[in-house]
Amino acid sequence: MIIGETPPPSGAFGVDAIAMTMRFGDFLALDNVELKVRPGSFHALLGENGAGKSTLVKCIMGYYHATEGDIIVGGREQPIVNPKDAHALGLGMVYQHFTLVPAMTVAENLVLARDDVPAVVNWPKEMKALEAFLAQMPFKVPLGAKVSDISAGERQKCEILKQLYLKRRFLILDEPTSVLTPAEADEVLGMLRDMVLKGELTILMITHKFREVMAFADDVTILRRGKLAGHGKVSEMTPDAMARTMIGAEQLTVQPPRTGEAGRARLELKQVRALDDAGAVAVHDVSLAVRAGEIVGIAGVSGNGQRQLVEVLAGQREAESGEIRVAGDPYRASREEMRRHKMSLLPEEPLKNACVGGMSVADNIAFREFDRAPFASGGWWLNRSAFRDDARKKIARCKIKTRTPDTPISALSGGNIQRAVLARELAGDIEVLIAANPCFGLDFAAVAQIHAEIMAARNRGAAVLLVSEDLDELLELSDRMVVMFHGQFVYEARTSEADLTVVGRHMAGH
Amino acid sequence: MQLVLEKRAERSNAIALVSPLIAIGLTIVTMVILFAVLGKNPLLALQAYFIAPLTDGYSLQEIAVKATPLVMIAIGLSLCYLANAWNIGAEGQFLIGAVAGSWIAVKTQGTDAGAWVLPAMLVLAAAAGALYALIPAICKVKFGASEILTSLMLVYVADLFLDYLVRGPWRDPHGFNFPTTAEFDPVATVPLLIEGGRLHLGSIIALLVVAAAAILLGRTIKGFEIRVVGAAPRAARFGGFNANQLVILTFAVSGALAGLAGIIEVAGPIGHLQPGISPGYGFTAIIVAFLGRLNPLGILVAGLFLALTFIGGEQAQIAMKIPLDVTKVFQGILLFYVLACDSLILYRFKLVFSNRQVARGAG
Repeated sequence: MIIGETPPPSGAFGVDAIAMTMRFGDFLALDNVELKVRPGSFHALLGENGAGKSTLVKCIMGYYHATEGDIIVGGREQPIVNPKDAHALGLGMVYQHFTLVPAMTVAENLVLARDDVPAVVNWPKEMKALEAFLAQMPFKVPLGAKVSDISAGERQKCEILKQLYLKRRFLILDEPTSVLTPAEADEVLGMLRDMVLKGELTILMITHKFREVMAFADDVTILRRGKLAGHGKVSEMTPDAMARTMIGAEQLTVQPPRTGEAGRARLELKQVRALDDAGAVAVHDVSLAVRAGEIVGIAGVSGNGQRQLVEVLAGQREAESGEIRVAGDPYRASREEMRRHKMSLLPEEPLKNACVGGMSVADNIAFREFDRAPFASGGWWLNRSAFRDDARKKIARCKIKTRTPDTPISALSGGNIQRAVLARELAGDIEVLIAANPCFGLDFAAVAQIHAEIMAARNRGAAVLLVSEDLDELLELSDRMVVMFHGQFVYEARTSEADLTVVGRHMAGH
Repeated sequence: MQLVLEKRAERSNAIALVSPLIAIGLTIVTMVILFAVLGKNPLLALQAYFIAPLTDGYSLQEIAVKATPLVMIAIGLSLCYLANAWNIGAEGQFLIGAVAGSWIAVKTQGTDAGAWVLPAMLVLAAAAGALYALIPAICKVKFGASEILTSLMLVYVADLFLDYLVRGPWRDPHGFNFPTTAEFDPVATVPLLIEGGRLHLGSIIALLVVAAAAILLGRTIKGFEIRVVGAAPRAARFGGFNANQLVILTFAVSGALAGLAGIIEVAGPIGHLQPGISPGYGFTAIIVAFLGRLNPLGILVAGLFLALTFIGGEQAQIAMKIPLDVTKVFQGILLFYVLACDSLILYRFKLVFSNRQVARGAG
């Protein structure tokens, strides 16, 4: 047998990962995990955050080097030292977030992704080749359009097309539908499913949406805390059984029932306009009132101005025009106002937005109140022991897993960082709560706890503004929903009366 | 087989502490090569640089004298850098402090002014340094001007202003046309700690500054704010912290310390105002700040080490005719290595073998 370069197989092929173990220092991210993806199958990889899904696929793609274990591609053991090796074998990965260059056209993005881009591109010839390629594909994308002008759904199709154009026949999709509306997600996954059925592709999809697993996948592998927790045919499983396998025996916090009536408007936005980093209008003169004892959900596909809106409310971005009032008073997001109106904020990516990574857990928990008694005295001095005492109490109450209160918060897991932020933000009375994707990337236990806390705050009379890209979360928690599209509120309904297909249509801008 | 840089799961605090030592080691290796290329015996050169100055009392005093301005300036700079404000112009603030303080010394020359002269000089120098540092700070806050550029450019303004004064209005009429002021009166001079020696009161002031900075950063509200704003600007805005106010504050404090260091240098070891009062203290202090991990105690140690290179450089020039500029090369290489080694705090080197080669190696 000739050892050396093997041309990538033309049809679908399988990938097996055998006895994969991955250590990061003391931490065992993967413990003897096995994954067998049959040729020409649609395989789902399920698991909570931190279960090791990303680590496993990064090992397959050559981004990480497994401490132990082998990768078998198309029946042969293959050393994959770096992503280039993986690409040469026909393995491709589609990431959760887009990797296209927004200022370039679709065609330019496709051609430039190749390993062998010529110094001078013969565009007429390339366009002809691209059109021929596209004709065989189930997806249609406008080749001449700039990526910045096409919708999220089309961009995700481009990402997948790019992999196919690069002759990758084994695709790893990392939560590919998180930026899509439900209808777009079904369309994209359906088309991929057809290609799999025709034997042109093998797909491994990381996801946490059971609906997609049930509808599109043949097989499923479930990881829990770095170990293989279960695997089998989807047709022989129920979503309940899969969820139990994912979570294990952990007890989830029970969410309190919705009680009480909404009171007076407490958080009011009037014609608020904000720009994005590039100076374009991201939030387009939006108005909204959130009443006491009410959760208002803002739905929308990521990138429609929700982030900028939350940044304005959190004081991270200046509003261009418009007015924000809290309990009738003008609000400019200063410390003093936040304190007076008992405002709490749970921003997305808490490590980046609400924590100082290099400082200790205790310092971070005291972040909002550090210049008040008992943490400070005389307007000048800090009382370090008060920091530690308060942190110890909150660490115990919120079950934050940290070695000591003096550990840098960046050493904690995502769920524990979010718990620390919750411990800080939800400590006292709350009159206004602003939460943005508060459960993004967290495990079931943390999600259940956060949802329970948000509902409890609402029941105690807080005005809650919940911005989320997760429709299920909004349907579960909010009393009222608005849909944000291109910086505007384009739809509003009571959640109990909202029609999911109508919501989805507005999210896509129709 | 490949050597790759891999991100660590978490930042390594051990490396953060060891990094300056690795950097010093690599710098010495580089210097050995450089000495060899210059045709000097590397071992003798290293001996002259790092061992000889530690062997006699005079050199030890001289190291403390040189370390005094370095440490004072670097403490101020570390506050700026911790708050994400990049003051590169400490050299200018040092010169302006020296000029402002000297103004009192020159004006009271030959009068029977009392003991108030020196304290007044120190206060005025600190105030002038602070005001001079506020120019780039305010330009940054009000107009968004890069403080790196403006603070650096103001160094040359200060340098030429000092030059003008000592060649023009303040020149010593009995000084044979040399561009210096007259020697300061005793009341305008920083007192010595050891009779007949070189060590002066400024070194005590530098130690007090180190202690004050340690307390400020660890125990006060302002110190907490400085650390938050510098380490996580987004989180700081979220928490309602006023970053602009801290830019102003840290620039003012670092300017004041640089100005104070300037007048102590002039009224101490030098004794009069002249051009070239600083062999680049304001710039070397940037190295001291980073080598000392922006930590007050670390800065004290780093300041003494960099002072050693100045004294060692002089010694090597006398003993082995090694050009004094080699000291500046040394300091530059050192900063380069410190910053390079700091990337090992977040990354590590890893040798990657393909599976097959490992198997072959084992079999």
